[in-house]
Amino acid sequence: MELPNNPLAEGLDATRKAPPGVLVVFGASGDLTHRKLLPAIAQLSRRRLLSPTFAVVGVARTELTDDGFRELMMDAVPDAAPSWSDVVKQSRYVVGDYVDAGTFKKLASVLQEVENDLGATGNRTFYLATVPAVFEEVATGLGGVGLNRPAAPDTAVRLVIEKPFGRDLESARQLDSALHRVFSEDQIYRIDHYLGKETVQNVLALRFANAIFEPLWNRSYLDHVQITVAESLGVEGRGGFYETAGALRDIVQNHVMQVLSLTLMEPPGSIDAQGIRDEKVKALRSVLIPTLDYVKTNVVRAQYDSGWSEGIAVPAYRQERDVDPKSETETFVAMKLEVDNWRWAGVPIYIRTGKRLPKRLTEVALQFKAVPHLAFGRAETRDLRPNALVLRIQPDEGVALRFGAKVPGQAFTVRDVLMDMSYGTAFLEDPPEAYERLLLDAMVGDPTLFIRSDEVDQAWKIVDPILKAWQERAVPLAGYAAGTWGPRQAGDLMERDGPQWRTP
Amino acid sequence: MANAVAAHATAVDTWQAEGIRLSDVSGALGALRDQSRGHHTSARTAVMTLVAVAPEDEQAYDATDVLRVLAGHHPARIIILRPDPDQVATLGARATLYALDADHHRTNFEEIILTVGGQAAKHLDSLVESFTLSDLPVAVWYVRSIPDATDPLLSVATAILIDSRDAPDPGELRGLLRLARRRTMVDLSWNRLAPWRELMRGLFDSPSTRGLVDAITHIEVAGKTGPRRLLGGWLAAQTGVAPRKIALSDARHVSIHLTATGAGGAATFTVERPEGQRLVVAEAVVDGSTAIRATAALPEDALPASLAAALTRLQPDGIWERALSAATALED
Repeated sequence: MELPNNPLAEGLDATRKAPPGVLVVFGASGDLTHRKLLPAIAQLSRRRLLSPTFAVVGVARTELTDDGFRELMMDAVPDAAPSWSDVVKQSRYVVGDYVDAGTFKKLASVLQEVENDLGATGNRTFYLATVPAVFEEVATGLGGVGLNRPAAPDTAVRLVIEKPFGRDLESARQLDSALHRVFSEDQIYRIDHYLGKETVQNVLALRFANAIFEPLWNRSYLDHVQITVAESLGVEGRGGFYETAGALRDIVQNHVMQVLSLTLMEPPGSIDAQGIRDEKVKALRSVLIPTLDYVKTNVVRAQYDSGWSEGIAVPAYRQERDVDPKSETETFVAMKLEVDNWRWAGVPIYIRTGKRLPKRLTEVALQFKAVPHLAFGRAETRDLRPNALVLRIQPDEGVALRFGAKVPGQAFTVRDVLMDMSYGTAFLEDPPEAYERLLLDAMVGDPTLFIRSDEVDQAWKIVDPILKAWQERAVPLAGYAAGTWGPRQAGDLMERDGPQWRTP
Repeated sequence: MANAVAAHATAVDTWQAEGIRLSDVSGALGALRDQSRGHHTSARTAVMTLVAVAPEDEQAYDATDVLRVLAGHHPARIIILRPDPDQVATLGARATLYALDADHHRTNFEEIILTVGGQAAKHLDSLVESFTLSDLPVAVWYVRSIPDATDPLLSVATAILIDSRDAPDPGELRGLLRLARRRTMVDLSWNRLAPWRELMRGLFDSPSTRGLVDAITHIEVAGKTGPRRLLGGWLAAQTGVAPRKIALSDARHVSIHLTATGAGGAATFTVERPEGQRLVVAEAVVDGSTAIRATAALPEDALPASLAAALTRLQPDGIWERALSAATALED
């Protein structure tokens, strides 16, 4: 029977709120839950974006009682608002192994109890804050007890999974088909927390809410695009994980591909899930799939040696804890991609990402072509470079435009100036954290900022040939000193085409 | 958001003079701006012009305090008007350049206080327009007062901020409603009461209580005159409960108590602020047992928080207008 409307909700829905329901967190005793998910849920409750009929059910192997889990929830958010206590009181815990069907039977029964106690509708969001190796087991377990299907009409069941989505194209497809055996695509929400960042979403606002940028956003005006995702930190005790990932899997296949698709995509018909995701996939499909020969000459992989980072002497990657002393894992990737469509043909996309680079920063720089004829004297324009539009994604989020201006004085000297807009000075309010935004979206049922199956597949199609080439040792592993912008080969990759890497 | 609202501005430089012309103020602003160029890390950014009408000293103190805090949320040029038509015709001004630090950024904003004596005090629009930032909305806040419908200043306002607490009787509410039909009005009281409205709404979100909206037989709203009337009006308009079944009573803090009687039995729905706490607590009791309980924290300082919420959404609000309209029919 369809529920009648709540007339008291009218006008209060301008801000989206999660409907009544339960969030089930697998891996509830883990680090991600403690550091990110619980603080994000607490923040949603503080902002009054959760229904009073909302509870968390934690599931993990760690032996904990309901009260033990509630303590863990309180500990994770030490300075929470009073509303957090309401959520905590209503929350429960299920201990069990993910391969054990009994765990899921117990979960089904606890969910029933929680929903009866709360009078919740049966909206259920399953969040897999676990290692990827158990995604399939959990999905199968949920399906085994029928928790993959809505318990009541007009309710929804959603499955949220964290990257990485596979280790290569084949394993990504295997994972996808395992999930699809139990959940339909519209139930699966794949999180890349980068998309929850306000400034990544701002790429869409900048491009499609302004008339001045889009006409220039094409091969007629752009010389090339540089995407930089730099980290100043090393592996920070996560050497074991990083050994199995590397920069290509950890950053390029997901974060970089997301930023790339938002930069390359055509204007969507509407800013909704289908409109945006269709265009993102189309953009990725236009990226030329690298061949082995292409990878040999257009992709650089490297690993950091010891060096100085932010004034501190730091060890080489191979000397980090839990890292093989003979490790071949890359901590730096630079590559050139080519895009074969009407808008981007002939505009190379240069990408670099790495650990232990001089600073932490993510940016997209659109480098414009030089003017066709410079009427000023060479000496007067010595310091003038082609225009650049830089979208700074983190930190100090903003937009900068570099253009030429006359230097005051008798001579007609023209020099670069930077018009720099910082979002922090235009909107001083704190934006929601990425997890806060994405959790709310998942519970509301808005998949716009989540990655669709075909998007994951296409991103792997671009990255997979590079992985294969590396496995065949077709590309040597270069070295770079920690605290520098990467190996000499990365500079060569770009300079042979003419331009240089920006020094952000 | 909470952090930003709590940010405090510091004065970088100030200029003050009496018996001046408007162009002197413009010149002084230009000079202050030139001086701010020395602060290389600073940016002058604004998302609106914020005008406060504060004839009395107390109103002006309130307005300056709150608006400077608010600049951390809505970077704005602030204009505070001190009109006094009974004084001799003269113009006094104080222009101050403020710096506001938030995270890694320093932002400068300007505040202009104009003391206007004589007939010009009845034509504040002619003064304000010299200082409004081009292409940006102008929010005019009538501090602890309700504007006269003929006030020329209304014509420069993109949105008018008032507090319906300052228009407690039905006649004044009807005047406000007439104004709201011609201009975009934002009511600070309405924003302040959002936790009560949201929690009450939440009590009816559950399938076990949703159907009980149509079974409400009695509504009691306690509080000060303005808020209790506004909430009573909202509940009347949204639930369709007849005004004679809505009782309003005086109390220090706002509370709402609904009674519903359905085929399955009786239910009560309460949203109230416990004495001595900055909390609102909601509870639904169905058939004698607690079905739902929820809590929301109230901001430490209600005025900046309600102003920040109001400035975030400078749009007409049909639900508020309906609540106001229904409130005029309630017996107090």
